[in-house]
Amino acid sequence: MKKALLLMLIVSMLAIVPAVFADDAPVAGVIWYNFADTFIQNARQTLLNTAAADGTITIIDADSMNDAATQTNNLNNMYTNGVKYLVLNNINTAGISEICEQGKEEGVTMIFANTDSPSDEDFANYEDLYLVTSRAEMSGTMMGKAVADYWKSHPEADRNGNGKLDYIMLLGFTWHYDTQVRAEYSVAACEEAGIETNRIGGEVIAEYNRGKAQEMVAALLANYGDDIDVVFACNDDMALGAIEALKAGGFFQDEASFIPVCGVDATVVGCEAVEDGTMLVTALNNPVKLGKAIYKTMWLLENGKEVTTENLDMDGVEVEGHRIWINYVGITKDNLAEAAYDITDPAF
Amino acid sequence: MEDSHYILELKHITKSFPGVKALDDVSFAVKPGKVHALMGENGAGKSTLMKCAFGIYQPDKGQIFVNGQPVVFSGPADALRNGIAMIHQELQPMRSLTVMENIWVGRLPYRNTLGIHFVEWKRLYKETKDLLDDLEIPIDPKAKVQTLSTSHCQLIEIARSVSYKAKIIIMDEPTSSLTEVEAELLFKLIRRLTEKGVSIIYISHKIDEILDISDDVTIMRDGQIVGDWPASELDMDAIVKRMVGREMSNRFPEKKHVPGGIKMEVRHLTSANPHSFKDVSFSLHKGEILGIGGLVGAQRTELVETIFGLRKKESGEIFIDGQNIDIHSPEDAIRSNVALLTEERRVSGIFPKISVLENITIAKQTADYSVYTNGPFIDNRKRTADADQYMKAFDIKAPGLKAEIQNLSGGNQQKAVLARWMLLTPQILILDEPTRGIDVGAKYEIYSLMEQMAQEGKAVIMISSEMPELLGMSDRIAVMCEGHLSGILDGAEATDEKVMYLASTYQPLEA
Amino acid sequence: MNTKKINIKQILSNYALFLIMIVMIVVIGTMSPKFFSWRVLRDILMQSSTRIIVALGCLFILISGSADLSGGRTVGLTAVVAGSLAQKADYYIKFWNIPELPPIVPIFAAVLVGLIVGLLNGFTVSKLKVPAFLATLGWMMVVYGTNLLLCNKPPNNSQPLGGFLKSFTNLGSGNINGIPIIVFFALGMCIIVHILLTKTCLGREIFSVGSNPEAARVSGINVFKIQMITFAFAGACYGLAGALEAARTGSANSSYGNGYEMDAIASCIVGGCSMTGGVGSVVGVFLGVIIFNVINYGLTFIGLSSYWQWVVKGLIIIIAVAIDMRKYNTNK
Repeated sequence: MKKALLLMLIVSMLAIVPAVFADDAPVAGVIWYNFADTFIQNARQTLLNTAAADGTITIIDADSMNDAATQTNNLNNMYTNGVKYLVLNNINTAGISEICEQGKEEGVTMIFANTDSPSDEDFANYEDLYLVTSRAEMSGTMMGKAVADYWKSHPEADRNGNGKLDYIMLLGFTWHYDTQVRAEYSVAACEEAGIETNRIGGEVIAEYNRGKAQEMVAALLANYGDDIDVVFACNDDMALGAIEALKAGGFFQDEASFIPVCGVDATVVGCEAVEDGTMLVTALNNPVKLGKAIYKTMWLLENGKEVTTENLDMDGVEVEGHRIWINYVGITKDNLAEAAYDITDPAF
Repeated sequence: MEDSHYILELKHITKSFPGVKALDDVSFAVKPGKVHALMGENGAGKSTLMKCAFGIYQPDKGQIFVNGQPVVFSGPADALRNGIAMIHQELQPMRSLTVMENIWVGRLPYRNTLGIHFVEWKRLYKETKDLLDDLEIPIDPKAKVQTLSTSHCQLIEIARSVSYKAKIIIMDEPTSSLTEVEAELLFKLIRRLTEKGVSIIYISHKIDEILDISDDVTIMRDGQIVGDWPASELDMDAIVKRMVGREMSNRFPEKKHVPGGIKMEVRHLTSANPHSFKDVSFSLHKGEILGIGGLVGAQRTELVETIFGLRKKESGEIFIDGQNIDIHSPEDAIRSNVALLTEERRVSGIFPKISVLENITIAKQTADYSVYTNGPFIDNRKRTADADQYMKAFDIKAPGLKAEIQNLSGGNQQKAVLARWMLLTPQILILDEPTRGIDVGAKYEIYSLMEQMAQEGKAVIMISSEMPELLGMSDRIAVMCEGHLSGILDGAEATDEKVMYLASTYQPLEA
Repeated sequence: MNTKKINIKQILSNYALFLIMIVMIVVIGTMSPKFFSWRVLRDILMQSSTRIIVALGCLFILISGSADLSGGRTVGLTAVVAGSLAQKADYYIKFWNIPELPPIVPIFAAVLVGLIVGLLNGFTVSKLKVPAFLATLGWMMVVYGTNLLLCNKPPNNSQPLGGFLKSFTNLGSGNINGIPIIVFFALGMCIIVHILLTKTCLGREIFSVGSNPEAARVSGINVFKIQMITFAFAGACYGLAGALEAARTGSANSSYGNGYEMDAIASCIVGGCSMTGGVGSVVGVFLGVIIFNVINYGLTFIGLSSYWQWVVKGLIIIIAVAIDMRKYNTNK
């Protein structure tokens, strides 16, 4: 029994090794913050599919399981493996400069993906440093703008008539960069449009969790039901939880009982809610674009070409120096089709 | 053969444990409706024999007959089915449940509705009530067991045995934790049961109790039967003689030490636990070995652990070198140069998975970190030097100082623990059953160490349940019985009989 | 021993949690009188429902003297299983290629999956003799991994599952005469478990095993069987809770149920269960869950930062157990 188990273990390990280092193509090590994240999973699949179809660069990837210590171990493993490119979906935002420094010493081309940008200094310090990410603040701005437009065209939206936009802000984790900028820029966009705002319920931390958001909004609704004008949520799951609670609280029964709810991510269920008319807007950070932009950046470098907006040639992707920006797309009832993407299509 | 008038017979039972032959060709028979006492010193084999009868142990050789029919018990459940029940302290009740559930556990009366077995609480209550009433046990069937006293728990256990329609109930030391009044309740119940034809096998050290309650007496010694007698033919002296009846051989080192002035005085010490010892006073001299004798349950361990600060006292004083010393914890005791070698070596003596070196040095290290450290780090050379000294002095046989102590023999473990205390250079050394579970050779070495300490002028207290050891080593013997100090004998004049007599009857000393 | 003195200290320690809860309700109510409304009561009952069912499973385990860490992740897995079987026929990311099913099917499937996890736990604990803490920790990880793999199955690709049939979501969000259907589920389970534990031989045998497994074995109780049944029943409870969680939120993904096992254990302990087995009641667990949900709901209700909820919850657990320990100490 014991021997059999040991044998199985050895065989399975031997089986993995050649699979990884099968050919001589340059290897890119990719470290994602969390495989369990829907968005990351889609970007990861796109990257793997694209690379497999093209064959110029071989991808090996690793999961940091939402833990900075695990990420550090993954980094060391990749360096030991001798990768040529290192794509890092960084969660250790306090250690960016050190990570860049280490990458320089190891002589790998560093690409930060879907994360905080390294500083200008870091870029000046190491020429083989790149960033591929979405403009996180855009997701916040899109929610804010959509709400401002709605507010201006619907005077009845000020439900208690106090002249202020009374909102609930559903936060993911307060230490999470995306949560911070989404919360900040959505409100800023409203205020820029000349609307006075008022937050209700303090910091409502629903941990990106639908059930939690549902329960918390239900509680807030019981107390502030007549005041709430709008719900901002830092992701679709929380927005959908809010919608469930609002439905139970008598909203969304007809045209008159509509209340704007905004989300981010444009998940399948999120878009469905947009289609149903319960969600006002969701911002799409296209994982396919992220996956492909990462691959194409490496592909250009491998073929000795410069990374520019023209060379990348992707819709909604702009290059500033070594920073490659992917624009969010605001998804409303009018452009639902844009929310569709196909992770299995390997073209880039 | 007149087998038929015995309800239970054990024939030619032999049972060995690693290193010990606990039972050697033992035969034992019980008549129906009688109280049959089983007596003997600690370790004579009484409990082992009864555990064989109840199916907890399987005998290596021999046969068991119930009502003349041969039976084999693979476990207690078999014994219960054959009408044998046992009450012993190791089997704890289910404290969080009610009396009635404790009695009928596994056999609750039920009504089958749609295949679901619903408990019939009313019937359960009534049957329990009838049972308890019949036995005149004044306990509410619905009471939670955790609210009951120890004696009531014991009565519940007996009721449980009766509920199994047991024909034979084995009681192992049933009164050891009961007060006199509580014990009287138990005796009343025993008499009622025998009237109904139930046989009781009664194990006890309390001779007066045995003479009072039993019909027949069997005495055991060293795993063998000494003989069977009707209780009416025995008196206390006769029983004691037959229980002890062992030859004394020269198993002890020559006594060279001479007791000096008073080192410690204990005055009117009373335990905080009302069921433990009361009003104990004695003195201890320099260069003296004071033995403490008594039976299981005499509260000897509780007494020395209270002196050492492990247990709380209610009142009383301890004087060391004429100073009234307040001891609230082992740290206090160690600071007053008192050391205690505890009774349960495996439980509170050794650190099984840690090296011999650390086992020896831990107490000294704890008393003062600086002795073994060099800056912030432990300096192993200092520790090794200390440990080595005692490895040689005590002749501790170990594969090395780094060996885990659990791999040493019992005697060598005990010597290592002794070495631990000696490193603290105590002036008062208390040893609780220091030779229990140790082979004869190692015993002699421990005795020699005790002798050596006494010669150095240290005061030694030794609790022992082994009569020869107590008589052979002690300058004086304090004998305890049920929490009272029943007398102090001079070592030279002490005999088995005198000790046994004091240990079995509480005789208050006139102040 | 049994003098009937009315002892204020005793009452305080026996009902301390009630008092804490009442004080909290009063404080919140004075800050916002809207707290005393049918709607708030309904919300709290509704939010407590799935947690009560999880805690009832946990109650079984604790009474039998074991522990179970797999509860939360089992809720997650069964939520996904139930959700995947409850999708509309024309939903565009259909998990399985199957026609629409009546809502009993996803519920039944979730209960079955939970039951299987329970049996695996039970077998590992009582046959392989792995300590319950480790056995259930191991299976918890296996269950979570399985859930991640399942969710990642094309065409779903780790997206949250959606598009549930109205007949299914109605179980979680619908109501009968204003009383949420999900509350009926929870109360129904409470009644079933209460009867099972107090009125049947099986229930009493579970108490016996938890109170003293050795004594139970000597009394002829099949301890292996009892442990298998308790774990299986607990698993089934998690399964039902998972299905209802999916119905209530109208979605499911792999992160569902995260941490529910600790909430459940905490609720049981606060409700008077003993970590050493043999003690516990449905009423206690019900109140335990309600207390935690009053805290969650109440603090959000008055707009206090979520961070405080953790602090208050932690303190409640510590106070509850400390009071419990004192009860035992004074009995000795």
